[in-house]
Amino acid sequence: MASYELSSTLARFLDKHLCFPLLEFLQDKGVYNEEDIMRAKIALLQNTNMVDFAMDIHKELYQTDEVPATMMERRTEVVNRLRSLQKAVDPIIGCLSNSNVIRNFRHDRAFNLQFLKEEFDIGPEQIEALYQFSKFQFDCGNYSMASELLQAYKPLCTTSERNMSVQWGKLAADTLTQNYEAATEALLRLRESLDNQSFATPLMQLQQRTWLMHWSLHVFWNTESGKNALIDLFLQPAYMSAITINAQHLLRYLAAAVVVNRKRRNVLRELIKVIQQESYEYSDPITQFLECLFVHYDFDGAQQKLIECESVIEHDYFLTAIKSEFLESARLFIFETYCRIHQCINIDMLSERLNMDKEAAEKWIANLILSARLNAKIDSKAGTVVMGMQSSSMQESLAEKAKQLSVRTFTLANAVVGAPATKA
Amino acid sequence: MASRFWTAGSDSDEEEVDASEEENSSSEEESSSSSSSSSSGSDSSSDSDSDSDSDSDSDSDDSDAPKKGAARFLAGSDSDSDSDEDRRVVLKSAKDKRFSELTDTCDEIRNKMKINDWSAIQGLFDELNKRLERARKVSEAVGTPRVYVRMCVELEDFLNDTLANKDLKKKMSSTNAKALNTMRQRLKKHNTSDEFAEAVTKFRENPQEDEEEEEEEEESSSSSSESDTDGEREETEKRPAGAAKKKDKLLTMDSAEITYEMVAKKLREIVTSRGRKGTDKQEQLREIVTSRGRKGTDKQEQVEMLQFLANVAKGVPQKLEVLLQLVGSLFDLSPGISNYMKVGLWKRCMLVMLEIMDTLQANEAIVLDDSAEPSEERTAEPVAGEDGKVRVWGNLVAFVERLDDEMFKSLQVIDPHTHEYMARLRDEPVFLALSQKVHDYLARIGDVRNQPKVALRLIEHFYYKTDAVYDAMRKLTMLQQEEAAASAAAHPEGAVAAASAAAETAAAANTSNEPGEEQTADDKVALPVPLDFSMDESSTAAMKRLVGIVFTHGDERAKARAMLCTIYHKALHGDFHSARDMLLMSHLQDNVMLMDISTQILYNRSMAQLGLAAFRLGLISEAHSCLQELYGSGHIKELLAQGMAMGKFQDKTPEQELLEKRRQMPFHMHISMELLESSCLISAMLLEVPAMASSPLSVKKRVISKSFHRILDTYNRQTFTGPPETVRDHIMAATRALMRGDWSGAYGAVSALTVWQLVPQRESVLDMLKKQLKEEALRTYLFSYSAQYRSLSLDQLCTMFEMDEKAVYSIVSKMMIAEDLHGSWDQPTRTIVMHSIEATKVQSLAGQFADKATLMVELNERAYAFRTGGLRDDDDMGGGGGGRRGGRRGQDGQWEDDGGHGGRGRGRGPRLGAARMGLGQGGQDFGGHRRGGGGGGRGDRGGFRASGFSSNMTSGLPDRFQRRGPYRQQANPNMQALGSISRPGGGVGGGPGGGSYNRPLGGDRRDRGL
Repeated sequence: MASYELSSTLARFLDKHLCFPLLEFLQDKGVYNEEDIMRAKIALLQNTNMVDFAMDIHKELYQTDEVPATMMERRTEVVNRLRSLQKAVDPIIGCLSNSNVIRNFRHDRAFNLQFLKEEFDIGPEQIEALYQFSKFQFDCGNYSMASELLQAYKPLCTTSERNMSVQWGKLAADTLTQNYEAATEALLRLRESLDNQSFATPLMQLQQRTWLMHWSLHVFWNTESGKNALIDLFLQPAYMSAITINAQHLLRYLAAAVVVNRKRRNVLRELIKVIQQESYEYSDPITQFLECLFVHYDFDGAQQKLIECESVIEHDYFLTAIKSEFLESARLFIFETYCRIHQCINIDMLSERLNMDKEAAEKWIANLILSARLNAKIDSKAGTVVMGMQSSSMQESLAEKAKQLSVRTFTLANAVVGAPATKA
Repeated sequence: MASRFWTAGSDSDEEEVDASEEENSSSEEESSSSSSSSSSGSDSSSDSDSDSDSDSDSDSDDSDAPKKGAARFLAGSDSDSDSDEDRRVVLKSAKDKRFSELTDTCDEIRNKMKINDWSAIQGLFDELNKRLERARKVSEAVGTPRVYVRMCVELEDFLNDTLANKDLKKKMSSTNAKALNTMRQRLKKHNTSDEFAEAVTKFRENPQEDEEEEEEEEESSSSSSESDTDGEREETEKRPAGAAKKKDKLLTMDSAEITYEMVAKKLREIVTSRGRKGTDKQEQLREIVTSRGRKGTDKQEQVEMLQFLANVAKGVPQKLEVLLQLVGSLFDLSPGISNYMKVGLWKRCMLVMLEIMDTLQANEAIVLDDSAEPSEERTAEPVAGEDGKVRVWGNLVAFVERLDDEMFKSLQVIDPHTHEYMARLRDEPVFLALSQKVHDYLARIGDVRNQPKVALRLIEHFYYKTDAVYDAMRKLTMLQQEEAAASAAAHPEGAVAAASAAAETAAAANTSNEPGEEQTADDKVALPVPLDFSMDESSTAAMKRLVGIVFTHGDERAKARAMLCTIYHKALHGDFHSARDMLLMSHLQDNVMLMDISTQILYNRSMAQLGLAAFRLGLISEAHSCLQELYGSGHIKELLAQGMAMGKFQDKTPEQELLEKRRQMPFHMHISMELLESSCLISAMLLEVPAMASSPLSVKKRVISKSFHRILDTYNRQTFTGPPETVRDHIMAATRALMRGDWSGAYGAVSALTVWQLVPQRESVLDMLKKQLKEEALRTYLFSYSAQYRSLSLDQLCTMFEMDEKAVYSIVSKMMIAEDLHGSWDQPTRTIVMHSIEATKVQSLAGQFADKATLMVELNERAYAFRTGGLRDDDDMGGGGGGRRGGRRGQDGQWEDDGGHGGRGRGRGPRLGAARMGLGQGGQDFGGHRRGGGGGGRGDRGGFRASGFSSNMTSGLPDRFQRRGPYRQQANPNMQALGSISRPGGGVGGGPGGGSYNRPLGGDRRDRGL
């Protein structure tokens, strides 16, 4: 199963902090050796300021109370830095917490800086310290604080590069505090600035888009409208090319989102094309399922893949929540497609396909017919479902065309010659 | 005065004697002697006047005549004391002067000899004789000056050479040839005459001795000077006797100077001066790339010289210098860019290059650098620079590139079906070894500017090799290395010595006169592959390594080429997807037209290979799109540089033809044309046959492959078709079988092609073809015959096409979903039930007719609306309806079916709509009636003009359109009354199309109407 486990791939494109939930999840699921995960966690925390946390894990992992000296050193280092930063940042925080000051801010950054300088004697050093402090807080795992600080810093930053990193920081912080509304907004802004940035090389843009898509997974799969937004974002040409070049594994999430989201069937064709095109680079049960169903029309295969999908989804941090939804939608997918090309289906066979017993299957179909989603009749004597055909004969369509023609010609003739009724 | 006259007298006397001795009948001689005798007095006086003058005598001779009187008078008026003083000066300097005059003339003759200018030589020879007399007179010596004798001997030799060379003789101009003949006669007489015969024979017997005494000999001849050690001299003497005989002038001169220089100068100075002289000669060569060296320089001689110098060079840097020069002059030996370098010569170059590389490897302190100061100005042995490195001028990369080019050229020319070609290909490992060495060397000295160039050359030797070829090459390399090792063991001196010995023999052979002998000797030159060279395990690894270097450091062209080579290589190894991704990501296809032709050819080759790769993998449509453009062009041979097409209608100038010839790929790099053709046509067939079957009535609907259609048409028109012979025949036979759904017949025809033997994965390709043919046959069958069935059993289809159930199911389902097949599965009975909406022929034709009629109505409506401003305007907006209609047309699928019209409609729709919208607004804002029409007219004009819509519709119904009142009514009911009145006068908009635009705005006309 681990072969379809994407955590290690995803981690390459995620922030350290954003990887953490994934590791926790993996630990819960027990896909990997627990000790390995703990060690991974320590490695992850090594570069952050969450030293205490790292120590705890260490203790748990090795069942000791001893902590390596490097960690202790790191701890004092962090504390010292915290103190010095705190000191540097105190005046500006005091000033910015005053709502009157904020009100005086304008969109003009230069003005803001000038204003602070004149009114409160706050220079670039303090402002820089503010940024460093918020980064520090973020590294400490104090995400809400970091988010607030960044919010405060944002009107004061001057360079566009800094602006970008503030936005990234904001997105990460909001995501980690699970404030998804704010995160969605941050995501939108970030995307906008990514698309508008003119100075970045194509390679950088590609990289950043890939990051954005990965980071957004956290947000999209946790919000109601996220799946829609995900489809929108991922199908943008620029992002789609980033997927095909850099991160084919994201197709899994796109595919899952499309399957789950019934309203977005229209993008299916496009998705299938991409999946097919990239199948030599990436394929997993979810994409294979779509491929079986819509390329090969191999319903048995699709059924098989669906079973595989189940376990894949179960072990995917992002998708685990939509497992049942996905399975239901997928089943409907199979059924719908099946019905499209059959005029008569044995219910026994169908129930087998749908993993239901005969009664339930009949009920399910009946429900579908009732809700007008299926034009069919059940022939209970033969035990079959007979599809209603809405075929129109060639003659009819010809007649239709001819009728339309005559009407239009008449109008035109009237217009040209002048209708007798309107003649003066 | 008297003495002066005496000298003058003796001068003329002597000359006359000389002339009589020669018994020369040449009129020039006579005239010159008579003129000199007549002007003897003035001659001498002018001599005395211009004792410091170094002008050539002929000048003063010519200018003497007018000066005669004055000169004589001047001489006569001279006082005795004056003349005495004069004489003293004259006597003192005259000897030197005469001698230098003689040498000058000799040099001039030599120059003329180099360019084969016999008429000039003749003149100069006369002059020389004159001067000889004067010199004798001045020096009062009895014998003949050595310079003169030597000149005579040289002249004679040269004359004989020239006479022996028939070709040269033929090329001579008539005057030149005449002069040559005269010279022959004169020289014969001259040299055999009593006075000179003895001197000449003496000279011939013992030239060294003569020259030893020649103290006046200038330093220049020391260019060929010699070293002091006996060992090295021995080497000189090792030269074969035959060569020594011809060349002894040089070599003997050399040895003569050894002694001279040994006495005269310190060794180092000799070496440097020699080195300098050597490069001095070469310096010019370097500068004038096209005509290297001085005109007429005996290149062969130079090579000899350098070869010799290389053996005696002092110090490693100098040896390198000499070797580098040697390579340069070896290149000079091969004529022109259109001819290829002789194989033997090439091999010699290789040997020298390898020697250079060995030297460089052994002496890490020496850096070859083309930016280093040329050694010309150096007088002392180059000292190590501040970094402990000795810089030597040289451009290894240029040499490597030249060698590569020469090899390429020779492969172009040699007949690929001969043994010679194979032998030539065997030289490749050595070249690779050399390039690799140069490459490593450049990497060592960190020359990132040139490194990619060599890397690219190597890439271009690797990219077209399949694994099998590459392995064979590796084995060959190892074999050659073993042989080299064995021969090295046999010769105790080691491989390098053996190599140089080989070079020696080659050199000797090269210098011999008979070309045939030269050829054989050349070919015998053994080229040992250096032992320290090893090829990468696989070509992929080699490519990866080299391409990486090019991508990091190379320039744009090198990068593009490396990229294309990689694509080719990947495609060749069946890695279609990554090759395609590389091609697409590099955007090469966008700007390949801007690149040089050879890169374009490489691009075409890559595309062809990509197509073949796709074909092998069974990606038919990809293969088709790759190959279609190449094949469809009809110039595939030229596009791939694999031969010249004999175009009926295109006449190429010889220059064009030559250029094209130079571009040709050597045979071993060719992509099989037949394979390309089969792949392309089979792909086209697989795509085209079902498409044709699906819409039999509108074949022109979408043509996938034009060339395929063309061929098919030709075959269909044939009255009799014989059994298939060519590729096309086979594929056409397969096509006809496939059209009936007979996959096995099609497969039989296709698999009978012989080209499949060229495909390494023959079995898998044929399997793939079988599978594809079955699938397409099934599709074709269903397309063609489904109308005849009420239901079709799945099992029957399975047996018919020998496919498994799943595959048939998949294909049929796909067709159902795409609505290609009007039927559906009946699951319990495992059959396909056809729905009888499949149109009969009449029905579908009727349908088409209806579509066309609809289109016509549509056009009429639009043409009408375009005059007036909207037909179906049910809403307030004047042109809203039109806009909608335009929009709808854009989306409506049925219009696209109608070929060109539909397409145009699509483009036109939105634009027209926009125009309408403008009109509508106008109508509303201004009460609707006045500006409305005008606005419409203007708006529509824009739309139509842009779409290029012709006016045939309007011309169809011209005068109907002039009345637009009622129409207006319909558009806007509250204008009813006005509209009916305001029918404009006839003929206003009568002209079709353009005419109508010139009419006044609607408002004006309306006024008129009112």
